Amino acid sequence: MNPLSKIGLFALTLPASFAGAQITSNGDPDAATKPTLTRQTTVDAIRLSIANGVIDFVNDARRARVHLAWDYLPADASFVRSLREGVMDASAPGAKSATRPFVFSVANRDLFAGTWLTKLSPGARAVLKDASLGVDPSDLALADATFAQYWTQPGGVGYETVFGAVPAVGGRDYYALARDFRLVTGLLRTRGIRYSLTVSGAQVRGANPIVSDPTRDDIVWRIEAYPFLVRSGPAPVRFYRFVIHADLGSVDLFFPNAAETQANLAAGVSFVGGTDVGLLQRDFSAGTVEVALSPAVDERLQQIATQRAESEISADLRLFGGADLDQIVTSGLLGGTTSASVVTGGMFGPGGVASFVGVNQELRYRNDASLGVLIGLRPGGGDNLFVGPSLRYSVVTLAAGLRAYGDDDRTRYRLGGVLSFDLSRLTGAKRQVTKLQLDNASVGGDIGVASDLIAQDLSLVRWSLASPDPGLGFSLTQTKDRNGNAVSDAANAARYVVRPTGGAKKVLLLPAGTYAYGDIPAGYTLRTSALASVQNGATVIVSSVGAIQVDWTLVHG
Amino acid sequence: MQLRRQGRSVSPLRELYGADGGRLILPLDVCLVLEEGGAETLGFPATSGTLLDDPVVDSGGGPVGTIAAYDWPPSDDFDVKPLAFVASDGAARAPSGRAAQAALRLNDVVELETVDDNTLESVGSGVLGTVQSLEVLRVWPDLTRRVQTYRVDFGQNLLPTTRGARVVLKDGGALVGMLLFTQNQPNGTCNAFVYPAHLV
Repeated sequence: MNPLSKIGLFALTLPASFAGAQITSNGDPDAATKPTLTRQTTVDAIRLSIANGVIDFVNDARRARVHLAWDYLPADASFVRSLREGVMDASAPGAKSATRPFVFSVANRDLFAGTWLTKLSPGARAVLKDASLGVDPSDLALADATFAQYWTQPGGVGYETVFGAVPAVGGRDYYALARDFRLVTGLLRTRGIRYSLTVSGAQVRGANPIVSDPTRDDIVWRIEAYPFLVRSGPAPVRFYRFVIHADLGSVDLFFPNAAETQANLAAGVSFVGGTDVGLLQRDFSAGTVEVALSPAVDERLQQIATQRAESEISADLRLFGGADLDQIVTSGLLGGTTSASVVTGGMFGPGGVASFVGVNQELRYRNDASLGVLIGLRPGGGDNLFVGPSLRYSVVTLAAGLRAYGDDDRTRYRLGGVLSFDLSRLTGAKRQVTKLQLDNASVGGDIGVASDLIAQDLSLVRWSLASPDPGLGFSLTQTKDRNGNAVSDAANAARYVVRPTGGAKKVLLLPAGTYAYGDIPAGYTLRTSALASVQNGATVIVSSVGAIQVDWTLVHG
Repeated sequence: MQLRRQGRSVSPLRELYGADGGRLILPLDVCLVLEEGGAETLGFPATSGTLLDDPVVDSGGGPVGTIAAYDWPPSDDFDVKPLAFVASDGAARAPSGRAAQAALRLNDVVELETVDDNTLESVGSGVLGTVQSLEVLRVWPDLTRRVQTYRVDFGQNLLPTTRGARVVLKDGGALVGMLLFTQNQPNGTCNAFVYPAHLV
C-alpha cells in the first residue's frame, strides 16, 4: 500500500506512471524568455532556470510580427552548470564531445502525419535507441516498458544503481532522467501540437483567434540529448537528459486602425486531439488593469530614465516600491520578500525584445490573482526602466504599461509590455512551504518546467514497514520545508499515512524537508534500524542527494 | 547503514564505517559538511568541541548516539584524523573499524562494503576498485590540510553519501580502509581517497 497524501498524488499528464507515488509542481508552463545555454551573469542564471515559456514580440504601430516558441522541456541552470563541467559521456552514440549535446529536429506536421520516424536521421535514431536501452524508436510502447523495467523495477540494472547499497545515481537525477524520458517518448507518441493566438483590445485584420493547421504548419521540435555515463566496464550504465524546444514560427498581425496603440495577445498550445497543455490561461491580457501612475512617479521616472547608470536606477527603486532590486536579486535565486517578488522575462516594445528583471510590488491579493506595480530594469542595458501595473496570475505576470527610456536629447515614454515570470511565485518562497502543490486538477500538469526545478524540492525515499498487524502503521507530517522554514499553515503541510508493505519496498518522492512522526499506536515501538527507535513527535529529515532508505518495524512494547 | 549528525546544524547522511572500543566511527564529513536547502555545503566548525554531544540519527531519524570526539580544527594540519566518534549503546554490535596494516599493492582489487541497517553486518556491494597509489599525504579537506590516504579508482560513479563505506580486499576480505573522498568522472568511474584502516 502506498502512503496516502491528503492532497493527492498523480502521474504526469502525458504518458505512463512512475514507480511509487508521483508529485508534480504547480508551475504553469507559461512564460517569456528565450533560453540560451551560454550566458553567465546572475540575472541570466535566473532566466535560464525559468526559461519554460512562450513568446518573443516584435512590435510596431500597425504591424506586429509575433514569434512564438515553447519550451516543452527546458533546461534548469543547475543542469547547464553540470554541462559546463564537461561531464557528459563522449563515448555515447552521436556524442561529439563531453560538452555538446546531440541535437536533432522533428517537424510537427510529421508528428501529425505519423511520418516522423521515416524522416529521422540515422544518428538521431541511434541516440533514441540508446536512450531506450536498445529498443528502436519504431516501437515506443516497448521502449517505455523496457525503460520502466530497467529503471523502476526492483532488479532492474538502473534501479539497482539508484537503490543499491552503493548507489551511482542520485535521487534528483533519478527523477529527472525518468521524467525527461517520458516527456520525449510522450511527445513522439502524440500527433503534435497546434497553437492559438488571440488578439484583444484592438481591431485586427483576418482570423481572430488564429489557430495553426497541423497539416501545414512550420512548427519544428528541436531535441537535445545529453548522455551521462555512471558506470563503466562491460555492463555500462548510461542515462540521458533531454531539452526540448518547439519553434512555432512567426505570425504577422495587421492592425488597420492606426489610432489604436495597444493590443493584448494571448497564446495557447494544445496537443492535437489531446488535452490542453501550456498556455491555458488565455486571459492574461493586461487591458483589464488601468495604468495609473501618479504625476510624481511620472516625473521621477523621467529623471531616472535620464540617469543611465544602473546603480542609480537600483537606488531609486527603493523610493518607489520599498524593495531594493539588487538586494532581492542577489539574496538568492529564490528571493522574494513578503510584499515583493522578483520577476523576469521579456519586454517588448519598439525595436525588439529586451530581457527584463524586476520587482513585482503587490498592492492587494484577490484570490490567486493579485494586482501590483511592476518596476524593473533591463539587465546589462541601463537604458530601460519599466514601471506599470501588473496582474499576476499563478506564476505568470503579464503587464503592460509605460516603458521609459532615454536617448541623447530627450526622455520619452513609449508603450511597452512585459510578459514575465514571477520567480518567487514559481518556487514558492512566498508561501513559506514548498513550491509543490499537489494538484491533480491542473490540466497542464508540470509540462514546460525543467525537471531539475521540480526535483530540487523532492527527496527520493525507498521504504518498507513491517508490522504485526496489517492495519497498524503511523503517519509523517511535514513540519519544515527544505530550507528549514516552518510550515506555518497546517493545512499546507504534506501528510503521509504509512501502512505495512508486506515485505515489499516502496519508492516515494517526498517534498524535501523535516517530518514529524505521529499516530504510532500506543503499546508499540517503531524501530528505524537495529540501533534506534522513535516516538510520536520525533522528527526525521528527508533530504539527501541519494535515495533515503528506511525499513521501519513496528514491534510490541 | 547511513547516519547523520542532527544538532543545531544538520549533516548529510554518511555510511557507518564501523566501531572502535564502544564508539561508532563515521567520516569527519558529518562535522564538516552541512545539509542545507537540499544540497551539501561545506561548513567547518570554527572552534573545537562545538559539535560534541550533537545527536546522531539513522536515516529514519532514530537516535543512535551522540558525537563523542572529533579532531577539528585539526591538532596537526599535516595529518588530519578524518574521523568522528559516536557514543552509542549499539557500538559493541557494529563491525570493527580497526585492522592491522595490510600488505596493499598497486592494482590490488578492493570492494566497497556497507553495514546493514538491521543485522549490523558488513555486506559486500559488488562495487570494485583498483588501488592506484599507496598511502601518501594528500590534500583534504581544504588546500591547507593533508591526510594520509590510498588512491582507489572505482568502476562506477559514487554519491557523496557513500563516504564512510568500508573498503576491503576483494581477495580475502581484509579491511583496508574507509572511503573518505569521491570524485566522479565523465567516463563512469570514480576517483576516491581511502583512509587506511590501520590508522583508525
